[in-house]
Amino acid sequence: MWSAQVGPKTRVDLLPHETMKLKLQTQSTETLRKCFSQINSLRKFVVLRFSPDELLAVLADESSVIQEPQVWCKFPMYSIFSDVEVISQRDNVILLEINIELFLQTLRNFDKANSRDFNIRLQRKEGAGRSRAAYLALSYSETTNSTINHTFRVPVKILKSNVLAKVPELPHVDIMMKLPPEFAATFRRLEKFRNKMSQDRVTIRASRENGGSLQFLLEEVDNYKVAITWKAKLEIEQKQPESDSLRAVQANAPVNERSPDEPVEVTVTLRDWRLAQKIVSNCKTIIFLMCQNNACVIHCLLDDAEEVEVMYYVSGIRSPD
Amino acid sequence: MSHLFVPSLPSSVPTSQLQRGLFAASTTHVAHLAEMFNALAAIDRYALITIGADGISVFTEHNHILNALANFEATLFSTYKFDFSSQSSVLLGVDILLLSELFAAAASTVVPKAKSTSGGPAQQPLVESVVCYLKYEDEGSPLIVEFEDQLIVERLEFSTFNLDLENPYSREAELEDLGGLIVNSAMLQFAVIIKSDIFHNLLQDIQVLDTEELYMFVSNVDDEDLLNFVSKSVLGYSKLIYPNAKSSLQKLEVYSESMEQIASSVVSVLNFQVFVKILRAVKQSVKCKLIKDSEGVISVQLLCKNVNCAGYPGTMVTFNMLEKTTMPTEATAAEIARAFDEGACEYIKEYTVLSGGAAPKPQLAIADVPNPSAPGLSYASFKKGDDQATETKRNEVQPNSESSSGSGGSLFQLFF
Repeated sequence: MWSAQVGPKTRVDLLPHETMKLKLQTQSTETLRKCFSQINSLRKFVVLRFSPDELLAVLADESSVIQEPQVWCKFPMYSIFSDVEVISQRDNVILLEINIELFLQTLRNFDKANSRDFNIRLQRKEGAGRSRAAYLALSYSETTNSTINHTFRVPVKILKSNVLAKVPELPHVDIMMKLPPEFAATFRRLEKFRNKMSQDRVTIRASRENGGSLQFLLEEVDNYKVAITWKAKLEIEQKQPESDSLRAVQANAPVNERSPDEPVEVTVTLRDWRLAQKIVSNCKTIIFLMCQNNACVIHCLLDDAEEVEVMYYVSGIRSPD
Repeated sequence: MSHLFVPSLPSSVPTSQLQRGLFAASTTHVAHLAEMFNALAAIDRYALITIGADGISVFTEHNHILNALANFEATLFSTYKFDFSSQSSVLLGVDILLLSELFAAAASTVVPKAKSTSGGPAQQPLVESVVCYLKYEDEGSPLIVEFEDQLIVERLEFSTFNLDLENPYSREAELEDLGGLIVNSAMLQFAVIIKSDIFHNLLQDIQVLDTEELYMFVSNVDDEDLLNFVSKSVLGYSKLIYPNAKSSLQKLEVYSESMEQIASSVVSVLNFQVFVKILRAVKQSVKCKLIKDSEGVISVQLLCKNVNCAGYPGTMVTFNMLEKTTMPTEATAAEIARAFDEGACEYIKEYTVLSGGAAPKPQLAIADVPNPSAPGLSYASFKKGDDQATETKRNEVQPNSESSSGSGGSLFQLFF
């Protein structure tokens, strides 16, 4: 099949999907459903990157002038699909963009139906020519008295593999801590400070001093000044391993002059931070990483199986100092 | 002078600040305060807080036609310290809407989540209780509110404003005049005490009807206490009868001009859009007192108990509002009459000859809604005169309406 499709057209600028095959089967969509329902409010479209080993779901808008928060979810293929077939010319990687809500709705429909297998296939749009438009056919059979076959064809856009940016990384990690599950309570407090202008900023300040502290500072001139401090115990990673920062010392000496007890601060827009609420409320293991005056990352494991990773990256508003 | 080693303990407040005065209080009844602030925020975004030695009162006003005052006694607070040597009370303006939301958010950590999203077992409350600390130093300084529970410490500094609001209940205002919108308890027309839960349901029903104008009918004619409401909406008219069992309608008194109890009836006209602003407070209350003075000021006093606080008599919320000045026109009265002129309704039409030789004026009568337990008829007369806004007179045996002789205005009578 591989050779048959490649054939004489290899010389021509190939349409990405002509050599593509995506065929997946699963018996349980719970993990996908759970993960997608946490991130569906963030953006309308999600980029899915299928490879034989893993599925990446990415919410990121690189073209945007303002740095918007990004979400990267990583699923190992074997943990969510029972049958995997991913073939493409580009290292067997298929990249497509799909409406997250439509995809999620189909997963929900499958969950409600009395059905065993859920199939995902990539289908060409008929008569689409060189267009990169295609369908993701999502199908399952419902067995009651008779069998009903459901097929949902969700339009997708196949992307070139270089479209996807790299996983955002913090230049260096100044502080890292584990957040307890009750931490979601802080979001309920922060929720109330919504401003129609949506330009509210929150400064997140973390420190290792006195067993560690994490603070959220907000201020609206002539109205209020707020400091929300996490009082319960925090598990803060005590000190970065020396060997790791050795090269960083050479390359970026001023950064590492920081004393480990010095508080780390990142200012982000309140709206961006609040979008993490669903993720923090539903994930099991939550690690929070900060880079002074640069960005912060919430890195979670979706459930007890610890196979699915969710990463929420918020870039900070840098203060001039 | 170096301030390098100033200790950060709150106990070591510099002496200069102590001279400025200090108010400090703490309480665990955050949810109760949140509900009360929320009820007041329905009136207006900004409120005037008066802090005195024996408690806190919060006053807010809407367009000079509706105001509300909530009194929190010092017993609601586990500690209460008021130390202003020169003043008996301090005033500060705050954004009550923001305050109510933040109190609600702080209280929500204690309350278990309504429903777990994953459909799992009901979640335990995250923390057992939230303590709230309040602090205020002097004019210009922020109001400091601090919430503390096992998980979170939230410190809030609210800017305080100089509001163009005057609390008509404050003592200073009382000495000058009673110019503010406040019910005159020496000139009452009626006083009704009812249970709040039924009243709340009733108000909700009236709200669902998209009511524009609400007629409140109070009568104790023929030894029967009646509290009825007629809603006027785009849909038409509907009548709601408050149950008159003693347990729900605890007291109903109608007064004469000299404040003597009489058997009579009073009709009040209310702009429902304004009146409904009391709804949130009614929901929190256990008992409700409705009074109206002869100048058309209606007052709703609500007692909001806090079950969790033993020994606290409850927060008193008082609303004062102006009766709608436009009396129902004759056309309206006729409309109401038509609306109830169906089926078993009893239709009444009669003319009253005014004493003093005045020309007979037609009196539009309204049919009775089938209410077999209310055989008595009563007249609620409205006068357009300015001297006495409303006066009622029972007028059954002798139909010559003496009460209306003083005014040349048209008459409107409601028969319930």
